[in-house]
Order: sequence, then structure tokens, then C-alpha cells
Amino acid sequence: MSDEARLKILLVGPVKAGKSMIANYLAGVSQNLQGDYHGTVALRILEFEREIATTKKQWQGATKKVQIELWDCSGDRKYENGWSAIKEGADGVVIVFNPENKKAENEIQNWHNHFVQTQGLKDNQCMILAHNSSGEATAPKFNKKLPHSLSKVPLFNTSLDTDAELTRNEFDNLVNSVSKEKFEKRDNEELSILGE
Amino acid sequence: MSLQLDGCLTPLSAERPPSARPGSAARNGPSGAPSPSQGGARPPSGRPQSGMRPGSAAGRPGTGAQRPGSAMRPGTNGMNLGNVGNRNVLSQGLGRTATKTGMARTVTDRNYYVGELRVRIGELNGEIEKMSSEIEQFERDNQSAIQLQKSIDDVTEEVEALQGQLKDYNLLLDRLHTSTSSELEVEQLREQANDLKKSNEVERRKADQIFTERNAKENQIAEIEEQVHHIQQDMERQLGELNQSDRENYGHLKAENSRLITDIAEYQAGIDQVAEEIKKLQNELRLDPSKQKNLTLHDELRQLQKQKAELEEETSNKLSIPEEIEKLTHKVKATNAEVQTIESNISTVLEALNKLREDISNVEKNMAESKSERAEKFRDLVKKDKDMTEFMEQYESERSQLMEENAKVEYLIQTALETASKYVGAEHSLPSADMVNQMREDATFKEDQLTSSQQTAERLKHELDQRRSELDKMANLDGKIEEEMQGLKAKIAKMKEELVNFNSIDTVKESFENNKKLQNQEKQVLSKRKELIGQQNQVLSANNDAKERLLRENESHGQIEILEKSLRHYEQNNFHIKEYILAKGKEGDYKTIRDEVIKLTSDMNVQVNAGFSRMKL
Repeated sequence: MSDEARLKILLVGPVKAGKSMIANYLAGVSQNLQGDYHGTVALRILEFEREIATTKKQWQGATKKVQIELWDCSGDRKYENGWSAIKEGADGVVIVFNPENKKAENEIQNWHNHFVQTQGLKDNQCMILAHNSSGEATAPKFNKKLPHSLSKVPLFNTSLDTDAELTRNEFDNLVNSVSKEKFEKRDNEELSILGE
Repeated sequence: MSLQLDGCLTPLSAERPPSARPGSAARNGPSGAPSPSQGGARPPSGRPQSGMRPGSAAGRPGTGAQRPGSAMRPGTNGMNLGNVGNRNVLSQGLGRTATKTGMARTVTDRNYYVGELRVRIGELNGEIEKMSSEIEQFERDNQSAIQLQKSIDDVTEEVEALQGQLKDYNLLLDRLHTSTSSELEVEQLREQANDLKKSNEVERRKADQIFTERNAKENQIAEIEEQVHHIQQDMERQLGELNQSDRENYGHLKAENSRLITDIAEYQAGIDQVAEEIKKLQNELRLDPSKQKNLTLHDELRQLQKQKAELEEETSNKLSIPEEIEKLTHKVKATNAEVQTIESNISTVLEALNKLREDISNVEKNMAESKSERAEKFRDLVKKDKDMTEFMEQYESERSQLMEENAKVEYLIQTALETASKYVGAEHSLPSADMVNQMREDATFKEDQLTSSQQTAERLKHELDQRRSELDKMANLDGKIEEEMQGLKAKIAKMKEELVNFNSIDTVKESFENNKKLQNQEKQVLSKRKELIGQQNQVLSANNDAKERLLRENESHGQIEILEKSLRHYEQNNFHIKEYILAKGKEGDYKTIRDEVIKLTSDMNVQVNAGFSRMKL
């Protein structure tokens, strides 16, 4: 098992939810200064490193570098033909939606079905962000209950203007659990091969 | 001769198939059936049947061993002539093949050679004669060639002379052409020449006048010289008239005069020297600024002294008080005006000065700034500003360019994703290896089936085509059958009609007999007529002969015939002459040429008129 592992994390959700903004923030890429909206065409892949705590108990407290590929997918349905390629081999999924858009809530279920359940990912490999992209601190928080199938998926109210750190921390947590899940899975596979 | 023939014949006999031998003739097939070598000697009738069968030859090894194998095969007989030569059969072939030796001379006689030689000698003589005649021809040609060369030289000289003339004429023609094309220029030149002539005349007159004046002046000079001469003579005369003291006085004065003249020359030289020195000093003065200042001050001083003198004069000229006041007021006014103008001048000058000072201060500031660090910062800022402006200017175009590139890349991403997902989907739906193998087997099986079914389909098509063609044939047959049926029906009808006639054969016979009788009667009548006509004909021909004899005997008839012949001849001549006249008349028809000439002359007239009108203009 190499220390420099590579995780593929998808960033999906309805159109104009602020996925690209979050992706830029997490990857440390400079924001678009002019601020005019340029919809993502099909896909952007942002690569960056994260240092996370090791999963091995004997090396507790140590950190290791993880290469992350953040796949910032367009929410536009006209690029739906490419989704099956995007979700292939994904290790984690971040679903972003705008809580002000009431229709978006219903769409989350679809997104979850399409990108999480079909890939056989667990709930801890997924994260839902009710993202407030307007920048107003007084924006209402998302308090409604999600459908039953999504009840175990962690949900956070985030905003890059008021509490950017939360997004970063929760993303780190997700990376942690995802990497753990992935490496455990790989270990199990190796063990099963050895067992045979 | 016989020897020669022998040599020729031996190979021929070898090639000859041994057809002379009755026994071997049957066995001489291409099958190469072996025939016994003694076939000729042995009577073949002993075993005629075994000779026919080639297979039986193998059953008789004894006979096969006795013969030399190759001799049996007629095709290769040339290989062993000796064997064949030994055979007594040869003489049979000699007589026949002798005629075939056409290649060698048949008759070898002395007369033949003599004849041959004679022919050759005759040919040689002919050749010699030909050559001598040719030589004569050459000599004659040579003579004529010399003559011709001479005439050629003459002619070439003439030609050269004529060419020279032609060149002259061509030059003349060219000049004429060029002159006609620039007639106007010629006119101008003529006018200019006239003007020049006129002016020349005027000048000549002036020159004449000047010449006469000069003559007059010269005359005057001569007169004056004469007068001078007279005066000198007078003077000398007068001197001669003077008394002694006066004469001495004159001599003194003359000497003094000469001395003074020399003195003047000396003084003049001194003056020149001094003037040169003055010039030098003045130059020096000019170069020296302090001395110049001094000079100007001196000038001012002189002017002031002049003013002082004037003022003193004025004060000395005692005027009345009011007059004085007036004068003074005038002066004051004048000075005031002067002062005002000077003040305005001063103000303008001051303004200019201030401006210049400001400029200087600005420049100094700039200088100071450029020296300091601020200047560097300023420069950096200017550079940045420049960069910024450039960036701003290029921003739009660069942005659009980048956006375009971006869009392209995005499109690529999209297409790549779509294709990738297609493949991913396909990967999921891929069957297992066993399935693939099974499917492949199925495919091969199905392909076999397909090929077989295609073959059957083709076969069926072929059959269908055949059936169709048959059908067509059948359809055609229907038509044919119908046609035949109709034909046959018509025939049946005809036959039925005829059958009626055939039923009554007796009547037919009767009618035939009647007809026969009638024809016979007619025949008899006609033969009688024939005889009669023959008799008449004999009589008439006798008459005709007599008349012809008479005519031949008649002289005038012969004359008439001759005259008729000549008449025909004349008429023919007449016709020829008429044709000739017509042709000549056509040849001599000058009307077209006349028309052309008239046309040309009229054209030329028009052109000449135009030219004249141009000349007049």
C-alpha cells in the first residue's frame, strides 16, 4: 500500500448550486474575479493534496499525503451521456444543492441514486452540502428532513462567505473516511486473494 | 556427274521413307511401331498380320535384336548414313530425286563460258563508254561553269550596286514618311526660322549702328588727339617764346613736379601700410569684447555730449516763457508716450521671463526627481501603467481567444466523456468468455447456414430465371402456334377450293385439249406468215443492195461526204474558237480593275483633301 494514494471524489448536484466555487476553494484555485457565472461544461478535474491522519492504529497521530482528484461535474442534464464515465471508479461523492431552490431538495434523491447507490458506495463515503452561495449571513438554514434513504448521509449547511472552514473540515473528514473505506476494501480483496 | 549426284542424293535417300518396300509401308505410322530391319529382304506376305500389330513386336525379341534400332525410324535416319548406303535399294531413289538438284549448274560447256564472257565484255564496254561520255559531260560542264562564274561575278556586282540604290531609296522613303507625319512641326520650324531671320536682321542693324557710332567716336578721338598735339605744339612754341628767367623757372618747376610725384608715390605707400595696420588693429578690437564695450561707451559719450551741446544751445537760445512751456509740454508728452511703450515692453518681457523661470524651475524639479529614488519608482509606475494599458487593450481579444480555446477544450471534454461512458456501459454489458465462444460458434454456424441459404437462394433465382424464360418462350409459342394455325387454315381453305377443281379432272383435260388445238392452229398460221415475210424481205434487201451500189458509184455522193466531214471539222473549230474568245474576253475584262482603280483614286483624293484642310488649319 503506497502512502501516496489517489482518491476520486465526485462533486455533483443541480445546476448553479455552487459546485465549482466549492471545488475552487478546496483546491485552492483563485476565484473568478469578475464574478459572472460561467457554467461548467461537462466536467472539470481539480487535483490537489490533503494530509490526513493515518488509518493504521499503530501509527496513530501520524499524517499521510493523499492525492485527491475532485471531479467537478456539471449539473446540466445535457451532459448526462457522460455521467456513467464520471461515476466509474468513484471513491466518494459530495452532493451540493442550493437550499433556496425548493425543487432541488427533491432532486437530491435522484443524484444520490445515480451516483452513490449504483456505485455501491456507503453512506459515510457521501456528504450532502446545503450550500448558501448568495453570501448573505442571514440566509435561512436548511432544516427540513430529507427522505428516509438519505437520513444517514451527513448533511451540512455551508457557506464560503461566512464559514468557509466548516466546508474544508467536513471535506477532510469525508476524505478520511473515504480513504479508510477504500484501503480497507483493498486490504480485504488482497486477503481474499491470499486466502484463495 | 554421276559422282556429284551421288553426293547430293545420299542424304535425300536417307530422308525418304522406305515406302518402296511394301512390307514396311504398313508399319510406318507415327506410333513408331518397330519394323524388322530385314523387312525389305523378307517377303512381308509371310506374316502380314503380325506386322500390322505393334504389340506383337514385343513378342519377337529375336528379330528386334537383329536390327539396328535407329535405322527403323524414318525420322532419324540421317544419323547413320552408312547403314542406308549399304542397302541395295538405293538405286531406286536415284532416278527420281535427280530433278531436285536445281541448286548446282546443270550444263558445263566451253561455249557457255564464252557466251558469258562476251556478255561481260559487252557490259564492260558499255560501262566504259558511259563513263567516257560522263567525263566529256563533266569537261563541258566545267567550261560552262567557268563562264557562269564570270557571269555570276558580274551579276553580283550589279546586284550590290542595285542594293545600294535600294537602300538610298528606302532612306528617302523613310524620311518622306516621317516628314509627312510631322508636317505641323515643319511648319513651326519654318515659323521659328522666319522669326530668327527677322531678329537677326534687327540685330544686324543694331550692330551696323554701333559700328557707325564707333567709327564716329574713333574719328572724334583722332580729332581730340590732333587737338592735344596742337596744344603741345602751342605750348612748346610758347615756351620757345618765353624769356630766359621764365624758362629757368619752368625747368625748376618741372623738376619740382617730378620730385613731388615721386614723393607722392612714397607717401601713398606709407598710407597703404598704415591703413593695413589700422585694419589689423580694428580686427583685434572687434575680437576684444572689453574694447568693443569701450567703443560703444565712447559712442554713447559722444551722443550725450552732442545732446548736452544741443541743450546748452537751447538754454542759450532764450525763448519766451509760454513758448518754453509749450515746448516742454510737447517734450513731456513725447517722453510719456515713450515711457508707456517702454513699460509695456517691459511687462511683456517680464511675463516672458517669468514663464521661462517657471520652465526652468520645472526642468530643475524634473532633473532633481530623476536623480532621486522617487524617479525610479515613478519610472516603475509608468512602466506598470504602460503594461496595464497594453493589457487592457489586449484584454478583450485575449479573453475572447482564451474563451474560444476554453470552449474547444470543453467540447473535447464533453465528447470524450460521452465516448468514455459509452465504452463503460459496453464494458458492463460484455458477455463472459464462454458466452463469447458459444456466440462465436453460433455465428459460424449461422454464417454457414447463411451461405447455404444464399446459395439456395441463388439457385432458386437461377431456376426462376429459367422458368421465366421458359414462360416467355411458351407465351411466344402460343403466338407462333396461332399464326401457324391461321396459315394452315388458310392453306386448308385454298386446298379445299383447289380440291373442287381436282375433282373434275375430265373437264380440265378437255379444256386443255381445246387449248392445245387452238394453239396449234395459230402456230400454223404464223409459220405461213413467216415464210411470206421472209420472201418479201429477200426482195427488199436485193433492192436495197442495188441502190447502195448505185450510191457508191455516184461521185457527187463521195464529194458530199468529204464536204460534210470538212463542215464538221470547221464547226468543231468554230466551237473551239468561240470558247477561246469567251475565255480571252473573260481574261481581258478590265471592269473590276477599273472599279478598283476608281475606288483607290477616290480614296486618295479624300485623303489628299483632308491633308490639305489640315495644312490650312
